[in-house]
Parts: sequence; C-alpha cells; structure tokens
Amino acid sequence: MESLIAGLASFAHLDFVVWMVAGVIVGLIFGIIPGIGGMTALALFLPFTFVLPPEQSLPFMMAVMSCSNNGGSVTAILVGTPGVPTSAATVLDGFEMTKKGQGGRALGAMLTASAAGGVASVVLALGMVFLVLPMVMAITSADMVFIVLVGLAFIATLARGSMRKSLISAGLGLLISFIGYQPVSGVYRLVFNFSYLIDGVPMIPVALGVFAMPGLIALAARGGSIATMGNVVTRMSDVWQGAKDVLRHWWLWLRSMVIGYIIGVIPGIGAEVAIWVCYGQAKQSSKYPEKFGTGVVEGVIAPESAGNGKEGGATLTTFALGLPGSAVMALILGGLMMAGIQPGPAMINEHMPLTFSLLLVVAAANLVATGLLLVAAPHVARIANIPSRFLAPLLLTTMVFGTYVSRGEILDIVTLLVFGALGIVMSKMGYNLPVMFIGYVLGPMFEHYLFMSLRMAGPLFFLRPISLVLIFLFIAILSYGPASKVAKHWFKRGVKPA
Amino acid sequence: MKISPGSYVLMVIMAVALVFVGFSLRMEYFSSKMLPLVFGSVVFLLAAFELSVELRRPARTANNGTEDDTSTAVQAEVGVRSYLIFGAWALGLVLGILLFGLAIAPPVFVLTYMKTHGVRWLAAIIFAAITAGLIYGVMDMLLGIELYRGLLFQ
Repeated sequence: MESLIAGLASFAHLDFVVWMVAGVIVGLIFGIIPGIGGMTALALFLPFTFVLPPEQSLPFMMAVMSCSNNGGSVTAILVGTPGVPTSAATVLDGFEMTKKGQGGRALGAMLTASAAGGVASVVLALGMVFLVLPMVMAITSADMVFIVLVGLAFIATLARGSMRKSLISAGLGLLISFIGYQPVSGVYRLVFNFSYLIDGVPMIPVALGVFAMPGLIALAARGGSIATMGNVVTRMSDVWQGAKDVLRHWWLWLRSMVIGYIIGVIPGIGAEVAIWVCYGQAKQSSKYPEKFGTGVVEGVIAPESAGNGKEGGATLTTFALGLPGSAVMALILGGLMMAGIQPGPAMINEHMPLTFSLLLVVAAANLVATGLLLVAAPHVARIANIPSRFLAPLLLTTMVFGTYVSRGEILDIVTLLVFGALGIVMSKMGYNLPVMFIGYVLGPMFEHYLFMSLRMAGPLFFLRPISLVLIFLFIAILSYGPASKVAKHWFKRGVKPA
Repeated sequence: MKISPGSYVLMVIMAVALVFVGFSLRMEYFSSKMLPLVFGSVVFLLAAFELSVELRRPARTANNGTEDDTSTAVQAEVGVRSYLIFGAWALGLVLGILLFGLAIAPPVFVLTYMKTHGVRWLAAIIFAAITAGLIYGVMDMLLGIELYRGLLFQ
C-alpha cells in the first residue's frame, strides 16, 4: 500500500505530469496519422530516453503508448481510415455512424469506452500486482531462462504468418544480440575488429530501422494524402449521447474490457486479436446481429473497450516478467532498460512505486486524452489530410536526429539505414519484425540468467518444478502446430478397413 | 526451377547463421561460444527446411496475358520502384550527412525533396528553415549535443 501511495505521489511532481501530457499529445497526433502509429512514435522518441531523466522519459513513453489507440480511432470514425491497426474494427460501424450524421455519438461512445476500459484495466492490473507478487518472488534465475524461451515461443507461434518464419525471426534477433562484449567470458564476439560493435549493435537504430522506417517508406511510396476529410460537424449533445450509450451497454463494455485484459496478459496474441474477438462476441450476443456493420454503437463500444482494456494486462506482463508481448511493449522495455531499470521480477521487487506510477500513467493518460479529444477531435483528425510529401522528409530527418542524439555516433545513422532495408525486405517476405526485435531485446537477459543458473546450480539447474512446467509448456507450444497438422492428416485418411 | 525472392532471402539467412556458427566454433571459451552456436544452428536448420519447402512449392500458373495479371505485375513493379526511389533519397540524406554534416544536409534534403515532389518554393524553404532551426535549437542549444561536421569540413 505504501508503494501505491508512493506511486501516486509521482503525480505531485510537475515535470512528471507535463511529460505525461506531452506524451498524450504526441501519441494522439501519431495515432491519427494512418501508417505511423504509436510504435513509430515510441521508436522516434526512444533516443530521448538517453538524455532525459527517467521521471520524464518513462511517463512520456507510457502516455504515447496508451493514447495512440485513441488517436487512431478518431480517424477510424471520422475519416473511415484506421490510424492504427487496433482501430480497424471501429471503422466498420464508427464510420457508418458518421455517414448517418452520428459521428459525434460514435466519438462519445469511443472516448468513453476506451477511457473507462483503460482505467478499469489499470485497476485490475494494480490488484493483480499483489496476487502476482508471491509468484514473482518465487521465480529464480533458472525459471527466468525458460520464461524467456516460452515467451518467445508463444510470441512466434501466435503471431500472424508462418510459424517457421517467426521462429527464424526470433533466432535472428537473438543472434544479433550476441554481437559485442560478453560479460561472462570477457570476450568480444563477432566484432571483426570493428570498434563500433564493441558494445553490440545499438538499440535505437535497430528499433527505428525495423519499426519506423518500413512504415515511413510505405507512406512515401504511396504518395498523396493519407485520407481526405470533409467538414464533419459534431455536437456536444451527440457526444454525451455516445457516452450514455456506454452506460446503457455496461455489460458489453465490461466483458469486452476483461477479454481485452486477458488477451493483453498473454504475450504474443496482440491487440488486433482482442478487438476482433470482442467485435465478434458483441455481434453474436446482440439482438440485432445483422445490423452490425451498418452503424450500431455496440460495434464501436466493444472493440474500443478491448483495445484499451489490454493495456493494463500487457503492461503488467512486461513489468512483472520482463516479457514484452508486442512490439510496442518491446520498445517500452527498451526504454526501461535504457533508464537503468531491468524489467522482470527485479522491477516488481525493487521498483514497486515506479511500477505503480507507470500503471497509473496508463489510466491518467487515457483520461487526459479523452478530455482533449472531447474538445478537439474533428480538428485533430485533419492531421490525416497532410500529404506525405510533407510528412516523409520531416519524419526521416527526425529519425536521423533521434538516432544521432542517442549516442552521438555518426555510424548509427548507417546502422539505421541497414536495419531499415532489412526491415522492409523481411516484412515483405513475411518475416515477423516484432518477434525479431523482442529476441534482440531479450537475448542479453536470457544469456545472463542462463549463465547465472549454470554457475549456481550446475547443468541440472532446470530440475525445479516451475522450470520443468515451463519446459513442458515450451515443447507443447512448439509442437502444437505440427502435431495438429499430423492429426488432421490422419483423421482425413480415416481408419483402414479390416 | 525458378527461385523466388523469398528463397534468396533464406539463402542469405542461412549464410548469416553459418557465419555465426563458424566464428563461434573458433571462440576459446564455452560460455562465449555456446549460445551463438546453438541458435545459429537452429536458425540454419529452420531456414534450410523453409528453403526446401519454398523450392518445392509449385510455381505460379503461367501468365495468360489477362489484363488483371498484367495490372497486378505493373502495380508490384510500381510499388518496388517507389520503395527504391525513397530508399535512394534516404541513402542520399545519409551520404550528405557523412560528407557535409548534420547542420547542412538535413535542411538541404528537406528542401530538395519537397521541391521535387511539387511543393512550392516558399513552403519548401520554410520547412527547410524550420528543420535547420530545430537542429540548432533542440540539438545544439537545448541538448548540448555536438553536431557532426562531415568529412569535408572536419
């Protein structure tokens, strides 16, 4: 309880609140621009975690992460183009409502459902911290080895596309992380006498190249304006009606939020699954399922509750286990590590007030974003009208600055270009870039825990109940896909006659 | 047998994995070689298996010369060309920074990119000036970061 109060006390510091609000504004703006989103914003601003103190950089990043969904939903409703992938389901009914002159009502429902969803999921996560704490304290370095492996396997197998390509991506990320100085042996690995690689491949150009560059190049290659928005008039009375709709459909909101939270806790499933699962269950449980897709408010409430409901769960998994479930969380994890905070059991044990304050930022940022959008949503959505010939060069130069600012090393800009090219080629060929980045981020942690376990308990360090369960889970996750294919094949062949 | 672009990517991945395996075998300490060796081997085997699947995949049916096939191919080519063009711009910016430094290359890049994409002179100059202002205002004055001068001005 003292830690919770200490976490709340962070909000008494002006710079903490100012940077949180700045993160809200940046998250909203980047979320509104289709093809850019919170991931690009986080990658772009990650370098500044080097120069800003943690009490400024961390609330900023958490706020960007929390609010980019809200910005993306504004364009989904008013323009018919989702600003972020997690707003895709909102387009189906949200934009139809705008066409029917109910854009204000859709906005009100979206803002209320997502704000309430974000706040409620944080309350759930805060409660779960106390439940999770005994489990976290029982985890040893040996268990962490297998938690990382299970997490990577989960993320690789649940991700979209080919499982083999996702596993290859995870493996490549791990291999990249092994370049440079290894503390255990004191050896420089695979640096090829190149002093630039002594500290390993730097995180900022990798993050920017892999996440921000492909989206930027696609934006520039598309050309023209991303979206066009005519004059959309929204009345406050319509917005309040939308808010009341959420109260009327409170059971839909609650179950969508809980589903989103549970999906957020499990690494690798991703927010897109949460929103579509909740949209589907809202349609199935509705008295008028045939009306979904024609502009019903339930089609906005369900995905928006889920989209923000997952934030609390995903944040708790990242903080408590050090396992980022998505690319966005991997960037948050990177930001924490650059601030000198090791996510995982150590963060819960040693930085509990910080854990609470960052969880509370998710809730507070949602509320601030709702307040801002209530006033300015139709005007802010016009950002989506900006032609790419203005955005592309400005974003590219910002990326280059951000890369240089992190270490003052000019070759980082070349690394940015290399990983940008790699990111584009790999994404076009169906490889999973978030999984690769997560492997790259978790590699040093995995190696550290592995050699610590070997030193403390020898080669049989895994002979512990938790570790054995995790090993079983790891094998089960990897073999589920091939085993189910073999089983299907046998069922199709049928039993041979005697 | 036509080799798809995905197959070439897999061959590159296999080569990279082999480099990791090869160099890790030469390392002196077990603790330094273990993980690159293990994961390099795993990546190599996975990529080899994926390559065998890719090569055995039946080739796409021959182009019957329908309009749809042609337009799809044209769209794909246009897509690749647009990517390469912007990639060339990005490369030009990086080379410009390496040669002329951070103070000169980005504003010039912003100006020339916008102008060649149809933005009016005044708007392009204003954005270039804003870029230069942000470089000095944020990087130099606010963050106190020494700007890279470029190979020609060092």
